[in-house]
Amino acid sequence: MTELVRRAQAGDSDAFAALYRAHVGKVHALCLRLAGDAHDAADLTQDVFVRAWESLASFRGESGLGTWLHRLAVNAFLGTRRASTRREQRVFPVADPGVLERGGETVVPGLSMDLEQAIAALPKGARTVFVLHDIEGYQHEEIGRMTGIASGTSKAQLFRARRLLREALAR
Amino acid sequence: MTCRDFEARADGYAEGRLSPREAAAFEAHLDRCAVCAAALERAAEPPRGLAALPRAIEPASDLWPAIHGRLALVRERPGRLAVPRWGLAAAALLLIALSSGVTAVLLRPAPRAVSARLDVSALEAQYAAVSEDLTGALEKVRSRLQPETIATIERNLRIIDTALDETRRALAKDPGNPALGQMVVAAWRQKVDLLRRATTLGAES
Repeated sequence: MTELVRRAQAGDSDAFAALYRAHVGKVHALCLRLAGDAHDAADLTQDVFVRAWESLASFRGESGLGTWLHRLAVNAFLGTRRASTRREQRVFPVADPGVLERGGETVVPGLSMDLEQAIAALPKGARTVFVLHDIEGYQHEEIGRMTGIASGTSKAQLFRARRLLREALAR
Repeated sequence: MTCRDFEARADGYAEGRLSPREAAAFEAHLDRCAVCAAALERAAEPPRGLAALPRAIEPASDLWPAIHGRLALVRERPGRLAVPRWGLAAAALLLIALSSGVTAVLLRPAPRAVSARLDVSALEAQYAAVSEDLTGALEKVRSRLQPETIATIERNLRIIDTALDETRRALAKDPGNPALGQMVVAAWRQKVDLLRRATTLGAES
């Protein structure tokens, strides 16, 4: 466990601010893809870090802090389900599309932004399963346990998501 | 559903054309038929470009000031409660009781003659103080509420805040309009009432 985490566990908000700066990009990317909406993603990201502060004492360091925060983000999203009413605003899920190019990873020009848009436009159930399975690497059984759906439903929703994405990207 | 039926309905499922009953049967078939599950997996590969998606996307604006403000409401050191849970509930109920005296006065409908010359700024300051206290109390009992309840409360608070901001802007452009002043006060009244109900709910859970 890092010194920053120990200090944050002891109540040092400056140390927690440093942890926030280090992890907010990855947490926000996950929230953005799950919610499919920039406003909801910002709210969700805030909730994740407030919950992290509240429960940081329970973090034992068995997994990395990033993994722990990811799990908190998935649980927060599944708990709140805030993304359902903003489909009409999903012109693009990021207020500043340039952030995709500044992500620090190799980006295929054009393709990545189209794919992000297509993911954001998926129906909620299909998007949740797609992001958890194909981007975050969860298995269907685990997705079923987390979301309360049957494994078969998760497989069917993944099929639907991939088909819809293929059609959207072929246009 | 047979495997042949399943295959025939795959396109319809993907396009959302099946009835809820047919869709449920389609999903249930996948639970018990590994052959169809494998065929479905082959029929729809993951899209190209997934590996190139950025792992990190910074928020469009800095979220830390808002998060830091909420940490201040939590106040206790992370993961530690300064007082036992029953103590939090008791403190919340005490605050509700105390604030009720204030809000009872604030929430009392004003006579028509008085409402025509509302001192909106003074009332706003009083409502804001009560609202801040209740927000702090709600934060302390927040963990006792169901996530769906919290989401509903927060969604309604956002709606009220949006209405409040819009009405306040309209009042700034037309400060002599008594109807706009009454609308600002009505929005505050709704907000305080919602916060009080939510805190009571959390304290009694």
